[in-house]
Amino acid sequence: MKRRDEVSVGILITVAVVVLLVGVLWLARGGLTSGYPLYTRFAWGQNLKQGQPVLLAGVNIGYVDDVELRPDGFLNVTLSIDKQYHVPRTSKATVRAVGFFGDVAVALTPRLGGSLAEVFASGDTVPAGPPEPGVAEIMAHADSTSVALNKITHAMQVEVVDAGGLRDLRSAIASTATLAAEMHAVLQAQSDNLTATLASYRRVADAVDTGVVDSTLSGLRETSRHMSLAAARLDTGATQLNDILARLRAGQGTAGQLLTDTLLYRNLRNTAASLDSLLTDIKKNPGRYISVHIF
Amino acid sequence: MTHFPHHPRPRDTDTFPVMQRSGIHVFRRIARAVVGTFRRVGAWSYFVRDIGRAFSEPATYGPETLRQMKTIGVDSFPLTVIVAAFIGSVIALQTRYQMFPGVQMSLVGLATRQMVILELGPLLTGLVLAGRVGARMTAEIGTMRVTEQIDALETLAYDPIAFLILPRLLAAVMMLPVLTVFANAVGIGSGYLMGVYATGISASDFKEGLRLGFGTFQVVYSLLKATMFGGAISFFSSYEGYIAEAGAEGVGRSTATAVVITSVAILVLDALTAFLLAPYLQS
Repeated sequence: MKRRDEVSVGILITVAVVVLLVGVLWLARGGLTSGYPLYTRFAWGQNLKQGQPVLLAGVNIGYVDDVELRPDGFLNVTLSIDKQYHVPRTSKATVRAVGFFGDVAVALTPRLGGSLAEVFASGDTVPAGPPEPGVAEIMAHADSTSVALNKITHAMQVEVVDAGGLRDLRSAIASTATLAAEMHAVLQAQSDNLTATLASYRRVADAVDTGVVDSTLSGLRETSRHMSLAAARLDTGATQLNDILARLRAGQGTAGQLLTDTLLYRNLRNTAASLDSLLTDIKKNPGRYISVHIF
Repeated sequence: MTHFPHHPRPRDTDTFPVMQRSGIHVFRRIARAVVGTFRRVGAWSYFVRDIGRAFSEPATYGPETLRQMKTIGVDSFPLTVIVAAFIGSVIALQTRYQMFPGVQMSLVGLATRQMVILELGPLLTGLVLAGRVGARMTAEIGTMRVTEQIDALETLAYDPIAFLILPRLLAAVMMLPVLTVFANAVGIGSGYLMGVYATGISASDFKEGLRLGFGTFQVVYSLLKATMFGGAISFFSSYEGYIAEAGAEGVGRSTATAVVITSVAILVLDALTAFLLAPYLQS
């Protein structure tokens, strides 16, 4: 065997081994230099598989390195992140649909307004955010919306078309148009009347003598002033009367005593009764009290 | 032939009416085909046994194995690469133009990788080498058979299996995976170039598809198939040459038979491998 043949076979096998190793590493790890790992956990049924992209704010920064099925209903997901990218600590991990056929990616979304300075370190666990609606949910929602729309359309068909609603609507529109025309005519007439009234008012206003009006207003002002003075005096009189009445209620003065002293009342009644009996006795026996001496 | 009075001598077929004679011929052909198949399987088994025995003579097959590795591997490299390049680029092109709006373009990369690595890389390499290398093996060994060179080897106490068959078998088993590695790499590379530069898929989309759901077992599966195809090519081609009948016509018939049997065997092995191992390819 020629030496040259051995060399060519050796070169071919060596290059094949290198191509095999480099190719497998590139496909499996995304390159010859591996990124740093981050971990997260999702519920079952996310359609995740190795190699799917990891997005940070929509930019591809790595890939799903491993998906471990746990018996407790969760998936332990290992993310491989390129070393040039850093994930803010405020980020949440969600599984996001990226196509119509169940393709998904792991989306890392930083909190709006949160600090971007603190980042996850290698081996940290990114908390999972609330799951985003997938294509199935969107389709189900669209389906329910479609059903509701179908019901509305059917009801409109029944009410508007079959039951003559459209015809009624047309006649209502025609009636409204007629009514509007009549209203327009009425308004036109009212407008004419108003114009005539305003013209009459202007004529009356022009006919008024302003000098008489001024003197009348002056007289009214004087009368008003006098009435103000009278009111002030009445107010003073009412105040004084209130004062007198208060003093009477307090039993001050003779009149107050008369109003409030019950003993005086009884004395006066007794006096009246005594006077009454005295008068009676005088009438009976006048001579007892009256002696007329002429001389 | 002993004649037994209780068992009358069977009538000649020609004495039967035409319809019965035709039926007898049909059944006779079927019987010959079945018996011939079993005979061939039996002969293959003996050939395998002889190959197994030949492993005990490394001094005989060792140097020749290296020469066959050059013939099978290095000399077939350009053809393999050209075929893989065209196949990879055509896969990417066809897949791209089957995508309707809304479908991720990364699927082009995924489809290219899966079709090249799992199926077309090893399969087309095997089929191409069945024509190029297998036919050559059959013709070489068949010519040696009809020119009695193999008999001469036996006369010189050389084991012809160890000297002629085993080196080709080992070389093919070792070099088919090597060529398949190149076929896979070139196929994916040409698919990438076609997808990115000819159909406008972004490089990141294509790369994302290439990595999507990749497992190392996919490469192992590809190389395992290539190894089996290499074994099938060398085994059937060598066998057909080894049993070639006298004359140029015999060598030609053996060569044609070898190419047909090898191609069918490659396809059967491909289907069998997929049936047995494809469930393990799911990532």
